[in-house]
Amino acid sequence: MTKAISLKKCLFSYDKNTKLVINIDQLDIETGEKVFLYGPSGHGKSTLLNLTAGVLKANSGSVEVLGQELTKISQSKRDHLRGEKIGYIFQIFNLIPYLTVKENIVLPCMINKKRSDDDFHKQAEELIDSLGLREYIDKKVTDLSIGQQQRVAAARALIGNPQMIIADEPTSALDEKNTREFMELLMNVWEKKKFTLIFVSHDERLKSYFSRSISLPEINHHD
Amino acid sequence: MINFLTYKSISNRKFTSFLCVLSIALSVTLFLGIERIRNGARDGFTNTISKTDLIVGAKGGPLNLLLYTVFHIGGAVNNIKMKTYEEIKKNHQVEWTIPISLGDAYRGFRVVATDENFYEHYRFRGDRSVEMSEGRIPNDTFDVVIGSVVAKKFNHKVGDPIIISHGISAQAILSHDNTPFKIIGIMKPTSTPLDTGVYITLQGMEAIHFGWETGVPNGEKINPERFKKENIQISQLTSFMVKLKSRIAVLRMRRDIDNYMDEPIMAIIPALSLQEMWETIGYVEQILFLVSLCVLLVGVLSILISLYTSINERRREMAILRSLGASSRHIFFLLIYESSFLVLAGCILGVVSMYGLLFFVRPWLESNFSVYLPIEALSSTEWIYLGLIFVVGTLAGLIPAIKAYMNSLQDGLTIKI
Repeated sequence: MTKAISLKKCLFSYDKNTKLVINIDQLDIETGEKVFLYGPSGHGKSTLLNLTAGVLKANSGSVEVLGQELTKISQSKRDHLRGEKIGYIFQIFNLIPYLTVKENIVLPCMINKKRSDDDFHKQAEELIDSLGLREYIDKKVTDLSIGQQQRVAAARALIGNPQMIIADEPTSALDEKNTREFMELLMNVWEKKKFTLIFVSHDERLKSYFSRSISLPEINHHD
Repeated sequence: MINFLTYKSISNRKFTSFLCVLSIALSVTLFLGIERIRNGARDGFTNTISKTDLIVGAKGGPLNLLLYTVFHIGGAVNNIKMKTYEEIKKNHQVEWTIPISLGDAYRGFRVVATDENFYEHYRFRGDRSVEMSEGRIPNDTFDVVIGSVVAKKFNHKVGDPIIISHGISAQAILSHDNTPFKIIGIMKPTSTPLDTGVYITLQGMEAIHFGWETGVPNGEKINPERFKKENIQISQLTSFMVKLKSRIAVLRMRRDIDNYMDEPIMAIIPALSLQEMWETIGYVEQILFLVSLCVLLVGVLSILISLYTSINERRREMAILRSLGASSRHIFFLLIYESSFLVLAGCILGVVSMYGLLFFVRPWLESNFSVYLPIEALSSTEWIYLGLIFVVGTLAGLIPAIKAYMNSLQDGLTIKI
């Protein structure tokens, strides 16, 4: 199996001569794997995600994502890679407040031509149905509850069939019931599409949903 | 995509965006409006009299000659002899002349004695001529035509008798009450000094001074026969206007008149003198221009402020766009696009309201300030101004755009709330 993410001897600090935020010897995630990345705050979680999403560039070592060596390609190529092949879900406030539910979901297809190869409107409708958002389709996202907003965020990450989904603590703002519902929906979609799923959380109880668990404090030997 | 997001983002912040557009529109309206009024005032002024090549009067100040002949302000130091006028009129270069004789007033309005040439040849604002709204042009000794302002002020109608006072002050000490005039015509409004004139014939001017040879009335009864037009000899004029057959001859003719041997007279070129005069009073114009420029600057600053203050609250939005594959450059252009859209909307609204305003203030400006403002399409200069406003306004968006760009580089996918 090819690797979705492969970090080797990866070092990163925000300024030269300041302390290292990322110092990872080896991290491999296989294609189609669903991985739980345990990351309490202060262990370079955001930085790692920014590195794998191609927003930041490692100082040294290698960061290979979906077959591309990110340290060797330009910023705009990294932006394209992220736009085309990666879906990203934030903790909260995932949505552009002035767009409707549907507009938010199809936004990646509007930004990236390559993600809109099929009829993305039809795809958006399907996602809306499968996530139970039909009645909110033309509502302003600010009228939705946090749980509903996170489902919209998931739909947006999933549209255009990205090869990888990065979820950055998507359940931390949800209550137990909403968290369970969200996790079940995510797992259902994963069963169908088998994308690479990297799920970051400080809530270790969610570990059970995943096939593998990586603890960030253990692999990141930062200063 | 950028169109769509810009549109949505602006309509999300409807009120602040509207205020921003409004302030741009206001400054555009003011700027273009002031420009128009400025140009209108200058054109109106320098076109108070047109077609006339030379104005001839007794030697003295050129400005004075212009003022009393055209604007009915001040008075002549000396008159000129009728013989001089006749001689210049006969010159083969001369196409037409308009004689002017001044000195009296009607309730504060100047009495201008002239002949039929005035009604035929006098031109202002390009090719507009004297027209009557009622009645006809004066023909007989005691016929009088009044300007529209005079008619309006005293509510005069054709047929009303009027008494002309001696001298030019509003409070008449001595009146020509033995020689009553009758209004036989009222001029159409022109928004030039013509409106404030009372026009009689040259013979009329002579006739009212019969028996005044000593400067005051001698109380003698005058034989009515003497008032017959054909019996009256014109002895002197105040000034006259000359139109030459060829413009090339103007300077030479002027020199000849200035060197006229029999009498000390001088000639001025009204177009030139008007231009010179405008320049001396034109500093007001430059102040106006500066003020409107400042107003514009404030308008442009309002874009900068409104976008800049929105940047921080939009950091989250920027991070989301970044996560969806937008580059920092995208973020930069999004803001530039927004500012240019706001300026564009402001410019359009500004031009529309400028025309609206023009439509309403036009009659008022024309009747009160003699500023004639035609409703014309945007001139090439105005297009250039609008272009510059657009560029400067868009550039004002550059500062917030750079700030957003830096933010998005720094924040990446980390949401700062």
